[in-house]
Amino acid sequence: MTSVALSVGANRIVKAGRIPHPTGDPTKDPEHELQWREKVVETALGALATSIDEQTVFEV
Amino acid sequence: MAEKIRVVHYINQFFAGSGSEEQAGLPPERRDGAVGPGKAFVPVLGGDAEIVTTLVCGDDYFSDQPDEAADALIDLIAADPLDVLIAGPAFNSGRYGMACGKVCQRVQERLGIPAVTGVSPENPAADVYTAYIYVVPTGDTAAKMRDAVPPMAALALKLARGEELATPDADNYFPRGRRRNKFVEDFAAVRAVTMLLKKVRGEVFETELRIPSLDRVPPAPKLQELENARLAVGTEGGTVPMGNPDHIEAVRATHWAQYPFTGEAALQVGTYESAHGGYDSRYANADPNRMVPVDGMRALEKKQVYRELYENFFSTVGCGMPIATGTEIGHAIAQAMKEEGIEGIVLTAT
Repeated sequence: MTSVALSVGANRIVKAGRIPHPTGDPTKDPEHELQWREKVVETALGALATSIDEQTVFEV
Repeated sequence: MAEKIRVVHYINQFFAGSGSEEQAGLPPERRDGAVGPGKAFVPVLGGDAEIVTTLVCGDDYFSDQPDEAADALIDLIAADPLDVLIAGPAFNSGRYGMACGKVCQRVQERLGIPAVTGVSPENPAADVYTAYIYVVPTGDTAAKMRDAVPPMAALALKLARGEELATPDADNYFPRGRRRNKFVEDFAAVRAVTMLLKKVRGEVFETELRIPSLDRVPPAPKLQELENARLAVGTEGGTVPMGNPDHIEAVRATHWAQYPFTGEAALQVGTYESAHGGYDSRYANADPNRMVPVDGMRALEKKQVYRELYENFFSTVGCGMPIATGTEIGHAIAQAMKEEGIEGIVLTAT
């Protein structure tokens, strides 16, 4: 829930999956789901390596 | 006799009796009359008002597409003559509270009818929506329904009748940041000194202006060298070893823990469960990497995108967690990370 993350003050926010599975996508077959999850993690790592001044939402 | 005030009530799938988390994807629907907690409002609204329609939507359906869901719900009543909308109360439920706030805001914008909802002070909706709509403070859980209904009903009736509201304290709503001028006997210098003397003497005093505490944390500087970084993964989704050995509570958790991975390249299915009471856990139970992405983290570690992954993941349950507890737990996890030389963490949230 990006809006909640923003309202409580998280600074680096990655918009990924849905509430019951933030790093999961049950609509995909396992192979594609893992591929997608790797992209999510990659985006998160990118966020850690990015300098920011204010709350930032990173899209996968 | 004056016409009855026509009320529409918005509730989620759980309060509508449609099911719990497994029905959180329920699309917008409309029902006649009062449903679920609406029935608690009926005697309090009395003979002056009637809940003519109830709108229902699943919390996940709504939070996935809040604008579309709010509009779809309002489309269902757009042609009806209505005087006020009541949403919830949502208590501490984050998704539900945000949905209630959004529906109230949108119905005001589109149909020009007033709206009121109720959430606990810890609910993020209390921060986000009080600027736009009237929000009544409630207790934490539905156990406090009986206390929430009367102030919400009273406020709804006042708004429906176009009556001027009294102060937030008198009419039971969160301060909206609005200022109204009024005449007082003493001028400001007198009031300021009087207040200061009370404060200095340790007496009770009432501030005239409440300064909001924003509690923003400045962003941490970026990782200097991602390729060389030691990182960790964690979650507030409550992923714990089968049996929840540390008894992390399903709601209002008081502690956190760190747990080893049960597999080298990924978390093994069937070795963890979800302790979190706020979401449908079947997807995470079927594959815990959907909550704690160890397989993804390992894959990128193997590709040397970063140097190494800490051998445990951090876990707590964020369901209904007060900000103060979250802050404490955050500090404690950061301290543990520092002791282990961990420079950054990927934390998932539900």
